[in-house]
Amino acid sequence: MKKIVAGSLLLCASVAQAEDVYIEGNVESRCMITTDTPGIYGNPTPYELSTDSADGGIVPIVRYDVITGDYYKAVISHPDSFSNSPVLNDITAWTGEVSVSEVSDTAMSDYETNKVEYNNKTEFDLTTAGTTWFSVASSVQYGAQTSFPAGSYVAVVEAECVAL
Amino acid sequence: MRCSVILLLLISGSANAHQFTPTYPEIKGSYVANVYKADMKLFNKRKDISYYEIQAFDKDWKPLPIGFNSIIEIDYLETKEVPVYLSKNAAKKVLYICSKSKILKGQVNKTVLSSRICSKIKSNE
Repeated sequence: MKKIVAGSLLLCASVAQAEDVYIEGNVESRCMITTDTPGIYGNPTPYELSTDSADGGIVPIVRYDVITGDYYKAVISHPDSFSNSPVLNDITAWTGEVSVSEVSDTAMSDYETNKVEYNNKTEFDLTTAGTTWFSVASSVQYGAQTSFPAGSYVAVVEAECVAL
Repeated sequence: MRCSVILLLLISGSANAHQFTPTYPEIKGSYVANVYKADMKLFNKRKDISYYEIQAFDKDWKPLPIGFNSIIEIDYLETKEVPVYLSKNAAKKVLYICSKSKILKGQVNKTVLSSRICSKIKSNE
């Protein structure tokens, strides 16, 4: 009986062989848009909201990652309206600026000088593989220096990555 | 009182990402006659977003109709295969296929970054 048990164990042991476990991956051209830093509006005067740090705000940062250069362009829009706010009976005047905040590769240093601006949009050709951080500053004034009604205000930053 | 107006969230949360591949998809025939498709893949790393809209545009960025649901529900960290169905006419004209994050109405003080990634149909350039 003992011999049978020992024999069975020996058989089982021989079944436990080493196996190679493969991990496969595929790197393909792609663009990834990431929210990096939360944006906050400061309220330096009753009639103005601004992301400028001097006004008590925080400028939002959007991060773009591209695997291959010259495959995508970034199109970023600063807000020109509120997506959520109290009822506003007067006009709002928006201004904004999208800038390169940080780059992962020195070859991206010309992104800022080569950017194209129109309306509330700014385009950047992502000519180099790597990561670029863009800051999206904005401010808005209400009416003829009219105080904003109290409440919560939300505006949308649009970040696009378009294949070239 | 003034403070309630001061802190306004433009973008919240961290490391929220959105990915749409391939960069240059191909238009292929589908199992239905005169219906064509492009096989896309959507990856959602945005905790705040559960829905994306799939859009198709011609060279002038005029929207083109796409078949089936254009709104995709996708969980956080989920990757989804997204077949984009197009009519014969749309398949000839389409130059960009895009995915755009959808922000639910009433999502106050949540992430308000609208991200859109567009792939290009090289054969229609």
